[in-house]
Amino acid sequence: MGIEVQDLRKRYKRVEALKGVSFTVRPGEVFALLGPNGAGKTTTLRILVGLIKRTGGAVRVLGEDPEAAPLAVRRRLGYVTGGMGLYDRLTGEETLRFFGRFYGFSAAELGERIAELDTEFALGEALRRRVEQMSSGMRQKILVARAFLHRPEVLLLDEPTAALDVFARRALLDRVAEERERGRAILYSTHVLPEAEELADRVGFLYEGRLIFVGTVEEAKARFGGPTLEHAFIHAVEEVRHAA
Amino acid sequence: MPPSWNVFWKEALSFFRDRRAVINQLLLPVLLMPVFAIGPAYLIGKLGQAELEKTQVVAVKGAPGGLIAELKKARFQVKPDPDPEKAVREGAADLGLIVEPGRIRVFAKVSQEGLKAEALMGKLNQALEAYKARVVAERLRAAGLDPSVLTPFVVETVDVSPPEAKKAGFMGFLIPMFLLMFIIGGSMSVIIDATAGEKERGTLEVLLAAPVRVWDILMGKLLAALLVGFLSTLAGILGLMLAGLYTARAVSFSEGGEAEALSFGLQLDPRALVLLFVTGVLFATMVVGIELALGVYARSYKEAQSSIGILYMVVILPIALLGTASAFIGENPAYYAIPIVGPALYMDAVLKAKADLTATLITWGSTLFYAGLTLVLAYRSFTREEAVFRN
Repeated sequence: MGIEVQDLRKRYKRVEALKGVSFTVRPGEVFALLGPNGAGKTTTLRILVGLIKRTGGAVRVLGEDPEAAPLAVRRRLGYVTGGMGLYDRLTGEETLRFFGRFYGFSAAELGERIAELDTEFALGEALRRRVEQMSSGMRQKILVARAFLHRPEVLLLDEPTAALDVFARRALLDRVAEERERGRAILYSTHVLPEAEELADRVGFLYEGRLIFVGTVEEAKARFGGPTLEHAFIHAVEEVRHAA
Repeated sequence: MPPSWNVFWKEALSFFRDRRAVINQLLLPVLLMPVFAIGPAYLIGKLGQAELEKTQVVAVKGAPGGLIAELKKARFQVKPDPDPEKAVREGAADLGLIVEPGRIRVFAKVSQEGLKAEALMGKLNQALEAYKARVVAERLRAAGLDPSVLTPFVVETVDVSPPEAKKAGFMGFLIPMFLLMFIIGGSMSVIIDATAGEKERGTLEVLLAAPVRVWDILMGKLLAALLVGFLSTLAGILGLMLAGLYTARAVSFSEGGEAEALSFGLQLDPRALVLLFVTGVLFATMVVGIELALGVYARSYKEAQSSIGILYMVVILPIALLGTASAFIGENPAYYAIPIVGPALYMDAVLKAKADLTATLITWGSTLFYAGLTLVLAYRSFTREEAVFRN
């Protein structure tokens, strides 16, 4: 039921950003969507959230079409972008309450849920401090707590480690691995290939709007050659370039 | 809490925690309005007065004794000179006079010295008029006539304007202009932060990815902008009242004149206040709708500042022009339906107790309609991916 993408196409005015992309993400699986900047990763995720409209193909998130029922889909998914997306002048708790209200929590329920998240993510001081006064580690905790606030069944992570220091990055990767164990379907978009090599059950190589490979990390290495996923990805892109 | 109130709460909290924005929008108008409103006039008045109290040199040629006496009475230093024009040009004299049969030629650096020259010419003309009256009286007496034959009657003008219009005084049209400026300026800071600012920080995408309708987001941002616009307007009014109080005291003290003539028309009855408030809210909604559409389309905070800044000029310019032309515009009710200009004309009419039911209905109906249109425009911008993700 997680995520199903079939022959997805997206055209901006003069650019065809996605040229028939197909993949699935099953519950309890981390699927890493890999590609250089401009490959179409963010476009794919925005279509899955219902932020932009596709020009072709079919998309299902938890059985629903995000274009037809965006609010129903958004209630059940967690979306994290690399740009952080926190309000500087709100405290950590105010941030969680602000977003929590959109998911229909009452004030009392939110209080209980924030207390749970505090225990789970050791939010502590981050709850009381304004975002503008937080360290990057504190911000990351609030960011992740916000994504998990409503216990989403699907997680969409778009370059989630882009603005993180090494400690915050490590904590996030561990958290993603834990969420997989809890049965969440996780779509992890990144151009940092070692992260994908560590986390992903399966990977998809996205290049110039086309998914040029889908399989496990080992299958990628075997198919394209090289000691690491990064080498395999580079060989795959070179193969496409030569063919063109 | 309804989603739109939730967005409103976040926007308002963010504004009130931004010390710089609070100072700019709520504190500075109180402090600066008195300076801007009365400062230039006060300064020019003081300088002009000081100039007139000085003794200026007048180079004269062919001036009779009577004229010289009048010039000295008006505190001019009279200096006979064979070429008064040259004396003025070279700075040896402030003014020059050549008396010829049936004509007096006056020399002054009119273009070069602007207001100073005008003030000096005023002072000189008073002396010349006094001399002229003296000569006329002497000639009439010589002809056996009483000089009073030249003034068979005196003209007395009585201002029959309503008390509200008198209170508004010559600053009348500036009041709606100031009110509308504060509404736009106050809402602008919130909207830029809530649109382009959110885009730049990456929070808009996260907000749009939450299970909340775009319409609720728009309403929340609109309410926050209206609140700050309203508070900013109140701060501006407070500043104007301080300016009015100061001017009234100054006028009463120095001239014993009618203090309310310069008190910026702020002694309004509750009905007028309600009419101004409703008009202000409708106008603000219309302007905020455009600001929201422009703000979300901008790539960055700076771009939004620049495009909304242009909007500010586009709105204020016709209102400012109208200030000088409004007295000559006829009483056509259709004018109240003109976007931007209509509410300004209507506010002016309210201040002068001229606004009737027809004017009220036309202004409110049309502004409500335009406000609806701009909000639809804003909604379309917020739902257009080319606008939201334009970078």
